[in-house]
Amino acid sequence: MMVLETKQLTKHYGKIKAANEINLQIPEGCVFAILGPNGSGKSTTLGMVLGATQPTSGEFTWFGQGNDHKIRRQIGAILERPIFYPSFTATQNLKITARIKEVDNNRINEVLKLVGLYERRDSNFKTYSLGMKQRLAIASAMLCDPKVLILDEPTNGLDPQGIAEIRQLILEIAESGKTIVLASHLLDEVQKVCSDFCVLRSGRLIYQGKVEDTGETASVEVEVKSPQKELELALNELAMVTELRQEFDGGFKVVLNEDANAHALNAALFDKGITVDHLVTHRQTLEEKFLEILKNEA
Amino acid sequence: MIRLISIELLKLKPARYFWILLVLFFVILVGIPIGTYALGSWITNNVMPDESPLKDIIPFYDFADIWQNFTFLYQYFTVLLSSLIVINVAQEFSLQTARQNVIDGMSRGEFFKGKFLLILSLAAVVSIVVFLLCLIFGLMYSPVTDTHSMFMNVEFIGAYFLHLVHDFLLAMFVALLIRRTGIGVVVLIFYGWIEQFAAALIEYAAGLPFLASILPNAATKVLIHSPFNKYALSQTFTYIRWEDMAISIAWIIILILLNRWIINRRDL
Repeated sequence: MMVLETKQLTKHYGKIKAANEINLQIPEGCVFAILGPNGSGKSTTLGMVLGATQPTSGEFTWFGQGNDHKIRRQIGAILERPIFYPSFTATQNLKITARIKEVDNNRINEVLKLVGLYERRDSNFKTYSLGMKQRLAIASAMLCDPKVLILDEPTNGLDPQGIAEIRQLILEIAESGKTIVLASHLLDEVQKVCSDFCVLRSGRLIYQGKVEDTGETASVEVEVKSPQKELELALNELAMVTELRQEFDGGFKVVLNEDANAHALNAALFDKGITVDHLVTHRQTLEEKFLEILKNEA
Repeated sequence: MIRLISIELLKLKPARYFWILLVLFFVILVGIPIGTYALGSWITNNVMPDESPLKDIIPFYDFADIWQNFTFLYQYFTVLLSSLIVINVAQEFSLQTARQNVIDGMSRGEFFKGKFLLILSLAAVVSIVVFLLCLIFGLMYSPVTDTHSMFMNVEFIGAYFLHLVHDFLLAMFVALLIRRTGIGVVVLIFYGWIEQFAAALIEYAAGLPFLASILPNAATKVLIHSPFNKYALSQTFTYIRWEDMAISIAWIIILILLNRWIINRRDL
């Protein structure tokens, strides 16, 4: 089942096409990332499917049912930044959300414990640190025990410890089988937690695929280093090497042809009497894939 | 409906501005009749000679008259409650909580309905309090207390209710346009002055008194005409005119539609 499906979803602000004919399918049970540079239409798209922004044209369907506001009560979502009444306590804020979502007030303490804010439940929201605000937003999104959790830049502005906490929380929630949609421009974050991703650029959807597929590329790239000076000569002689580049640290970046791999390279070098002290197969990171996609589309 | 009003109450109960403005307003509600009584007795005791025929005839608290006297004076303080509405509504947009409410599963229609119910409830509660105050002060000081005279002209409470609903809807409209609490309140207060200025221009310079009388603020102010002219032996309306009521209700409907339209249409 598709959790969310959009058809030709479009939003124009005057002449600016913030989102242009977006066709998106988010399957159930995945951790789905929406990637894109700032201003690429991530938040606009999420704003539309959550009812906050009126689409210029196009449509969307939640859980194959429709887009009625009551369906949103089964969705937990935070967009851009945690939004609460600043002079109210966590409990007072969550009571409002609970009433909107028609959830029992008993849930409030449960979700506060989940995100580790139970002890601070009677402090005003404005006294919270950014990390605590972000965690309260996740608590609020978890109130209704949602089928899908939508987080827009959940680690924005957090310190490394805060980022690690939020990442851990997302992984725990994902393990419980919930679908998570994550909009982010922090690519290594996404690589650590997501299974699927799509890329937006200038309001258009330009790629959708699985994170695990990004590591598989046609050519293999290997980093190799040796104290022996003959290394460069030997690499030049090898037929499996299609590209050779010296790095600043004296090592080499080698691109091998499709049939070869680091193991074969090592054996070939050993045959030539060269032993290496550093040999790493370089997997393409999501970041590189992302930049490649953006470059190809430009 | 109960869910929507309870959401509004959850948003008000912990809010300090709500209690400050409400308490201030109720202090004024009680303070005016007490102050007037003190002033009245000072005038009769010190200014007027004992043999004056005017002594004891200023019937501020007299039944039948009291409804118009009180509601007329009270409507000058509605701006306190209108400010409360401006803050309440503008805050939802400046803090983006309206957006979060919709994301959490409220429809835009429900958001409007919640605010409208808040306006109706506040107007109703204040009207009831004013009704009770008129009754209490009347029973204390009015020379006539027979049931017939007591409830004669009680329809001024209804007119006061309409005036409150209208002013609150106007405040909501200002809040929806300005979306900032501080500037919103300032604009609301300035708007009252600007409209009076414009009305004077329209009435005297352009010679269109009817047009001046249907401007939004003027339309509810004329609902309750000043009762005090009659004590100076000049003419005034001591009843509510149907045409005034029609203009007032027309504005209420226009403002309801405008406010709902803005909320339904706008990106939050």
